[in-house]
Amino acid sequence: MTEPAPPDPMERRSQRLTTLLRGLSLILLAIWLVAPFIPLLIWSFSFHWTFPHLLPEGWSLRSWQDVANPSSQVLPAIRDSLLIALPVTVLSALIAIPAGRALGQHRFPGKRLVEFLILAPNIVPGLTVALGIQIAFLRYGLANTFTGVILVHLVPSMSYAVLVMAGVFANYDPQAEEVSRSLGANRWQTFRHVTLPAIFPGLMVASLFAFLISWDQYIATILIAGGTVKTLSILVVAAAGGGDRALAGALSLVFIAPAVVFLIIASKYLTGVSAARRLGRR
Amino acid sequence: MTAVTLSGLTKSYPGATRPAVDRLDLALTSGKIHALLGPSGCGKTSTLKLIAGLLRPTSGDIRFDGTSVLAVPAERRGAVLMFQNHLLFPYMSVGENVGYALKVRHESRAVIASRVDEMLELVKLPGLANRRPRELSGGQQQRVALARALIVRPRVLLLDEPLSNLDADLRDDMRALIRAVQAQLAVTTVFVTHDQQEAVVMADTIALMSGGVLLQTAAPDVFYDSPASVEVARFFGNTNLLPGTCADGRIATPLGTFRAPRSTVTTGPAVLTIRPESIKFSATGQPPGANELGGQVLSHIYAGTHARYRIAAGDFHFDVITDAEAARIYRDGDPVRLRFPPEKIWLLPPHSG
Ligand SMILES: Nc1ncnc2c1ncn2[C@@H]1O[C@H](COP(=O)(O)OP(=O)(O)O)[C@@H](O)[C@H]1O
Ligand SMILES: [Mg+2]
Repeated sequence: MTEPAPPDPMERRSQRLTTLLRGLSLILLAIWLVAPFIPLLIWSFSFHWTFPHLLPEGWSLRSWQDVANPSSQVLPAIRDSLLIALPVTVLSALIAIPAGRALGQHRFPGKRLVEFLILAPNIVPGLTVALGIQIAFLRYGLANTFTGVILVHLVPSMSYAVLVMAGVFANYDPQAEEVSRSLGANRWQTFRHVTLPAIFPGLMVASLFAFLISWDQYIATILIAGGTVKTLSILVVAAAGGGDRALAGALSLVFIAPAVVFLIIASKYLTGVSAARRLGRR
Repeated sequence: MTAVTLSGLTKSYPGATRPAVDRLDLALTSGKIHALLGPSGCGKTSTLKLIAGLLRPTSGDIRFDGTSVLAVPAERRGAVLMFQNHLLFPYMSVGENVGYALKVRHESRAVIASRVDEMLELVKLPGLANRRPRELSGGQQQRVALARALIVRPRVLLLDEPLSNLDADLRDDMRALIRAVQAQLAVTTVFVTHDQQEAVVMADTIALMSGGVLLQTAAPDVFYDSPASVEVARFFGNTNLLPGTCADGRIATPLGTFRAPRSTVTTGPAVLTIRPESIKFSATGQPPGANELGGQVLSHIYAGTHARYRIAAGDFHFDVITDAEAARIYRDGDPVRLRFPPEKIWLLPPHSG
């Protein structure tokens, strides 16, 4: 291996241009992603803000104090959301690994139909699906239970996770697993030491999708367990419908927070390089 | 030291029109290198996976030292695989790769570390335990894969075209290393290849397969001297075929009668075969004598160490290879005399179809 030759001035200039363009595009991307949140942020700190004014006429921390106040029910709502989204994520991942493998690795008659059926719940309006499921759940006593909500959320979460994992397994060569088994590793050891490291980035992305889809659910949750389970998304929608825009803004930001955090984590697996680290270094 | 016996071994993949491995009978003696040779798609890899326990046979039996291993799962068979690509686990260091078989057997770190060093020594890569696989050259990765396969002294070592991704000279080195290590550990080895030359160089015995069926099993030289069929003769480069009828150690052909004591057929239709190197070659002077015939040079290639001729005789063509010691180089169109030494002629049954 030889050291790369020092770049000549022309090359250095073009390199600088590339860096500049990359920086510019990153800034544009950041604006594109962050812009929608700015009004929410301003709202959340506003005291009084009416139409013709570009900025609020007065500022206040009141809405954030309200959010922090136990009476706001934000903490129990976050807890409910997590109690649903986390099991949904784990179950989606557990289903998506074998199901994605079957879809990605093997050809079998009716594969297209199976793929369609997995996608179907995402094509049909969620309301229809939830309504259909609600009738069945009432019969089996699952209405108004966490289990019921988890099962309903599982439908869209799992279908995304399965599709992501099918993509991962479409490019996966099982030869390394065969070598591992012949070397004396049982199925679990082979999965743990050989398969899992290979599919891990894809599995992280699939899990993050599954989590966010559950976190976002609103109509399905209300239909199945509107009376008992109060997730953060229900709280946010209620606040948005109410008159208190400052509170709605603050709640929305709390609601979006995990999505932003996960997006930063996921970008590492999506690009193979930690976007956060790259931003910090430049 | 394990003898492997395959009997009636058959594998049909679902939906396939014919079995990938078809009633294979094969006895692999302990401690030797056995080549599984045949064109791509003839069922070599399937056979290896059956022996390893990664595929379940449709029918037939696999015995290690006389005991059926069909009920033994892959991880406890002690038949270790090595493929040509995806050699090493990319997420592990070289040392972790080599020590993998010990780790999954829950050996202590100290034992693993010392055995890994030993194995890396054996494949002449000492001190590389902390490298990542991608930092190694193709040949080094091959050596590491060999060390990993041998660390637990497998009962059977299964090599699936392990050298086909290497450059020619690197391949020679690896052949020598595999032979040396194999001889030292005396592990029964099955070496899959589609390269006839490689099989001859590497193996103690060769099993030649075609379309899932075993054509012949023998020591390498037998494939040259006494192939079992025209198909085998062709695979080993013998393209000189002359049909006729044999009786009393002679064969009557359209080009005359030849004395041919070596034969698989005693009487009736047969095919005369003779290797290109075995045909003697001279200028025409006197009329052809016993086991001789006249012909004419169609084309020739001079290759320094030898020359290769295509000769027309009657309606037939023969390939002849002469070594560098040959009296002279003949030109296209030269009349020549060919002699088929009786002890070099091999009579085969006429090929079906
Ligand atoms: N998993 C499989 N499913 C269906 N057919 C297969 C499978 N693996 C191999 N085959 C078929 O079996 C035959 C033998 O394949 P293989 O054992 O890989 O041959 P080789 O290693 O000699 O090239 C081929 O026709 C191949 O297409
Ligand atoms: Mg193969």
